[in-house]
Amino acid sequence: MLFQELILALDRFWSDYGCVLQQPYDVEVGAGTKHPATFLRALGPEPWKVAYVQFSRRPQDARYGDNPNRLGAYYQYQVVLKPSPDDVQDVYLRSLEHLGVDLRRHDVRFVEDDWEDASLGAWGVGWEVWLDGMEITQFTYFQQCGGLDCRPVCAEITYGLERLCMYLQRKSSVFELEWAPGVTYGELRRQEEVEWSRYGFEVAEVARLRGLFEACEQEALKALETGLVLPAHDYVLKCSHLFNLLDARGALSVSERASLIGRCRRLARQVAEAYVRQREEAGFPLLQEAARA
Amino acid sequence: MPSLLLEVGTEELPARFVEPARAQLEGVLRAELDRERLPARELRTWATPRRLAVLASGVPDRQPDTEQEVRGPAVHVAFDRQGRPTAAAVGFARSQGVSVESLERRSTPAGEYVFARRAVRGQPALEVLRELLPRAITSLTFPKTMRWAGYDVRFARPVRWIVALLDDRVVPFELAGVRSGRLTYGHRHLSPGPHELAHAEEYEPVLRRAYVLADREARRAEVVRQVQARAREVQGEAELAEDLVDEVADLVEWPTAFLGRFDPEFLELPEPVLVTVMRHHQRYFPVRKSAGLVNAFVGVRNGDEVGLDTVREGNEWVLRARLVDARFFYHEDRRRRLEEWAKRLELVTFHEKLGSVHEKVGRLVALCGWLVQHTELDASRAASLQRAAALCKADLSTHMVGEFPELQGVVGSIYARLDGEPEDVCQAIEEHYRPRGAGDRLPASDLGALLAVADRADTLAGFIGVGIVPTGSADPYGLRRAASGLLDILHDRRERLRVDLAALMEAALQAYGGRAEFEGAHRRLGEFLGDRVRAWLLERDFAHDVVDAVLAGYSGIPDFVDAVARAEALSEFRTRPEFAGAYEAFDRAYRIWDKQTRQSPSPLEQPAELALDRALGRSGPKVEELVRSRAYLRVLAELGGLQPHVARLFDEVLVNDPDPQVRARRHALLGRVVNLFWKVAHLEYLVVTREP
Repeated sequence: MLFQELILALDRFWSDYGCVLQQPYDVEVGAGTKHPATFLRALGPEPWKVAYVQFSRRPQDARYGDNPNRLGAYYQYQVVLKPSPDDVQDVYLRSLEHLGVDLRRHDVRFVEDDWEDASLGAWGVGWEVWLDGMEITQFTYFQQCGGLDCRPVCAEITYGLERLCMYLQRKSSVFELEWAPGVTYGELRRQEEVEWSRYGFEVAEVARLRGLFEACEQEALKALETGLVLPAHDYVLKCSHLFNLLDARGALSVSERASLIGRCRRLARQVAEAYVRQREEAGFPLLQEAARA
Repeated sequence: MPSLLLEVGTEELPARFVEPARAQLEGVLRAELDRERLPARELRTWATPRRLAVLASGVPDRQPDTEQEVRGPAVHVAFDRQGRPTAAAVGFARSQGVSVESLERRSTPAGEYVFARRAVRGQPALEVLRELLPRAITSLTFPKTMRWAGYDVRFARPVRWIVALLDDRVVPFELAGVRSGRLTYGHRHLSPGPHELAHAEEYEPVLRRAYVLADREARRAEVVRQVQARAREVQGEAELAEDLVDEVADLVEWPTAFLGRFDPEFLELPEPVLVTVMRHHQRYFPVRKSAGLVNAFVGVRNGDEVGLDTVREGNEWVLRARLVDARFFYHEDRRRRLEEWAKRLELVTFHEKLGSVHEKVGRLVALCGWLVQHTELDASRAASLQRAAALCKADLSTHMVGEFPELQGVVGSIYARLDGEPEDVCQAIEEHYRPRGAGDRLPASDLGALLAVADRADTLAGFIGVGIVPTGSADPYGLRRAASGLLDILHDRRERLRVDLAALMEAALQAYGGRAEFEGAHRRLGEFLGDRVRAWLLERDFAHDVVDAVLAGYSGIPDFVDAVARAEALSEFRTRPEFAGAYEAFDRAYRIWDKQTRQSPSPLEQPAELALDRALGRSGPKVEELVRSRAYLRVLAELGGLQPHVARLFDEVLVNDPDPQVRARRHALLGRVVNLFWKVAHLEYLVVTREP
């Protein structure tokens, strides 16, 4: 199965299930969780079903395109179902069958693995899903987001597209994956890996990045003061990404590291609270929609 | 009498929760049934990642009838001055369904109250169980719980079905949106079901047909049998680590083992790395021959033989990717010497409040310098210790430990050896993390032990010093474990490492340089380590009163090794015939002695006084000498010799003489007796039953 066909198949499956197919967010993020379609929609009482691909940047994991399994950025396929359906595991397993995995002939396991993102004040409980020993999905029941309890709890299903595709195509290097007929993953992404590795580890100007962090933090606060939740969220994401860049660059002392994480978390919490207030003022529209349906 | 079946079907429980939950369910259900007067004859339990179940056989059909007493209002409220029942009494009697006349008066510690006594008819078991079973389920505790969807229940993972049968009848109740019934589910892919249970007793055979080996011990035994059989196919032996067998048994409902292989070229990787990749990351059992690891592994699949070749191929492919990764890390790491990796520890956090690991290493080097003064290490070994201290944390910044944190120490020692560091340095690097937990081996080498002592002392001084103290069961930084490891090593090394725990901790605190956050550090460390020393002694079966008697002699952080010597001497002395006399001397002196008396205000006159004074004069210097060499048992034997003199004093004179001058000098004499005993332990804490 080509990389792009994998995405199409998952889109088909989750669209048929009733998800909104949203699109990748355009601010740099470390994971699909930070997309407002997850981070914000997970908050408050409104029901929500969404699926999307998210390009996720992890400057720390970059390896100059040398390592067959490590990338400084990769694609996640993210699904959020809120409230978590009672048969959510079965639905997930059906999605694997939809990809052509015969569950009877393979070994699928749910192995304990809880998730936490300190800079978002978010954590959850769940598993990594193993397919014949390969970790292909992170499955999480959100317990808190932005420091607020999730009520109801949503299920987040995050497929690691490269891992899953490497397994399906039996490729030992991510760069050898066939993305489209005759076009490899490496052709599309290796140069990016090389350049961002050099930038992140060698070139990034630490003082300027620190300045940018401060500036983005100020913008987030300003947006919050004026009740603009979504711009505030974007600037929190920028802060979080700048933090990741500084961290990868090895520029952060121990105490500075902790302090920057704390600043991101405080902003994320304010955004979360402002978002819930905003939706409440709007009368939680999706809740009413669901009641009508 | 009927059988009761309860099965809680869940999404996959963490493997480490399964067995404790099974044991808990058994205890909880037994206690609840007993409390509700429905005791079962026998309980059987089952547990897999997807279910916890219990079958209680011989449960009574209904509770026996009984009487209940209910306390009502106080008598002075229930009756007026004329002794007539008030509205309060009437209301109480009505609420209990008894007549006012039948109320009884009874005195209680809280005063006189009226009581209603009423017959309670036993309820049918089915009715009682409707309340009891959901209560039993929700009372199970787990290391971590969660909520799901919109339910208000907390459990380890979502509850998806419940079977509750009393023989062939459903015990109806609802929990987290799940209604109890008679439908169970089989293996996720081989026989999902639902499967209907006509009767509680059908449970195990129905599950077995549905590819669920629910009996935990049977499943575990099956894993062991199959894994060993697969390993023999290549004439090898599987490494059956107990914890891995437990985990694998609780990751599957129907185990089938398979033998996989990997390219022999990966055998160039250090053995601990290969084992860690296979065991910790993939839950495979490594296979060994006498010459070492072979290029094979045994995995256990949750399922049967169908598609087993596909599963094997997939797992081989995954392991290959992991090993390629590990080899990449290994080669990357080896581009630099370990000492260069040590320089990067500035970026590794020790703790937010305690700075980086680089700073910690600086303190360890200093603390090792201090420790050397308390040993007989020659100069070259002392230099090796300093070198090991400087390198011991370096592997924390390597790729390999970043990927496999459990290999800290092991990777460092392998790399140090490749760098050509002296063997004692390499060994100390590896050993300084030992013991990693209760029951783990202690460092075997002198240097490993010293470095381990320094590391733990630094950790405890830092965390406890700034006020991060474990509370209740919460000990996220493993400080209690660090403390008990430290005590184990100090005890193990007591002959060659003479160091007072209090002095050690003082040196460790000094290394932090007296920062403001350390205000109150001595007090906190005294309390924490005092508790740990007490726990350590009690765990080694020293009697409570002996431990109390010994520890009463210290203020602040006890001199641990010394305390153990005292406890050993006192425990031993207690079993000897001389003990009775010695204890009597102490006890008689201590009981009457007025602790305010400091010195003798008038010269001694009576022969009994003079005799005791002479005996004390003889014993005093001997005791001092023996205490210096920690020969506490001999001190006690020596003090036993005071007994006739103390007895004579009590026989011949009145200690509490009416003349205050005389009284004072006799008290002073007895005070000297008590103080000599106190040089070993505070014997007043001993619980001694006197011969009749």
